[in-house]
Amino acid sequence: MITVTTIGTSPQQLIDITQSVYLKTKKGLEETAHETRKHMVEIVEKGFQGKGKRDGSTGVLEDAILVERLDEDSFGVGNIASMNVVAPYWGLLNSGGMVSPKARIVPGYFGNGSPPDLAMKGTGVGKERFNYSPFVYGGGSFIMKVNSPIGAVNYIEKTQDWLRTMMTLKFYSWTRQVKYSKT
Amino acid sequence: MASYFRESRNVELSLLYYLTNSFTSDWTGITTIKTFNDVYAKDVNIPIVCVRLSQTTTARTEIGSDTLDNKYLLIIDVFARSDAQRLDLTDYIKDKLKSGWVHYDHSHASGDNTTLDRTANGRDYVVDFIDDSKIDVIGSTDEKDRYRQSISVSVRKSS
Repeated sequence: MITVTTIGTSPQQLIDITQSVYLKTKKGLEETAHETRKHMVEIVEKGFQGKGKRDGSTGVLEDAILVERLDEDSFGVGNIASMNVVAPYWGLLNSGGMVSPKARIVPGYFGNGSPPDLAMKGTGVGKERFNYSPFVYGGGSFIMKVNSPIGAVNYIEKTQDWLRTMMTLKFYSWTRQVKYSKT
Repeated sequence: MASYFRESRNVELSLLYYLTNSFTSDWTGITTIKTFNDVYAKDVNIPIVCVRLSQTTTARTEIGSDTLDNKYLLIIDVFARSDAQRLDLTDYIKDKLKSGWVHYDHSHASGDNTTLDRTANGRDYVVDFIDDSKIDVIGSTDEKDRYRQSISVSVRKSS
């Protein structure tokens, strides 16, 4: 008996492999986009744990980080245009910086209208949420002098670093070829 | 008895030392700093370059091995005097980073934590240039926030 063995990959097999890899990659990219968002949100949460979560935290920044389908095969995490509107301080929290204008005076109150607690001055560990409110005489706002900058959390760079490693691993699994053996 | 620093601190301090020496020989008046909060101190003037270790990723070199493979995310913040200086400093720093630098083991004598002793121990090299972007701090009119750039690199120590 004569046995004919196929050597290499036939055109049809190549098409099957390409389609399989494409579908796996497409599905994997969408999953990765959601994992990336989750990872970024976790870093945001961890980034402020050291300071303690303020009472009444609304999670606006976390909610503003969304996954967006850009076209058929690509996704974005965190649309800058919409984040500028919904959570305009996203950049400040990522990169750090001085929050207040040059005079470094910020009007507002803590909790339900309390003045700054002098015992907490300079410690950065107060638990009450600061509410910005333009100063009006008799209006219940207090003037705060900001001495320290907002520290940089770098949640974007940390996520980028993580994503690079993840993509290397994921691409390897997505593109592993189907083995063809035919006699 | 001397106090010896561990690898993470050594990676951060080695880059700071390398950039400080480079600026001293090639530029004038650049302040290098390790702590972000110190950038905003009144007695520290721009231009400032702040080097800090932001994150360490650890993996085993292979299954079952007790040798760890650490990757360090270093953030270099540039606080420039002008937009042109921001760009020049950024390009200069990236040019310096691309070939790696000497890794030093740091220590200090007991009771004297201001004088560091350094012993060369291999090299640090950039695995990945993660990001290089202009920073606009919305709402800030502090002069130190006007011309900012952030460079982030992933770094490994050669074994």
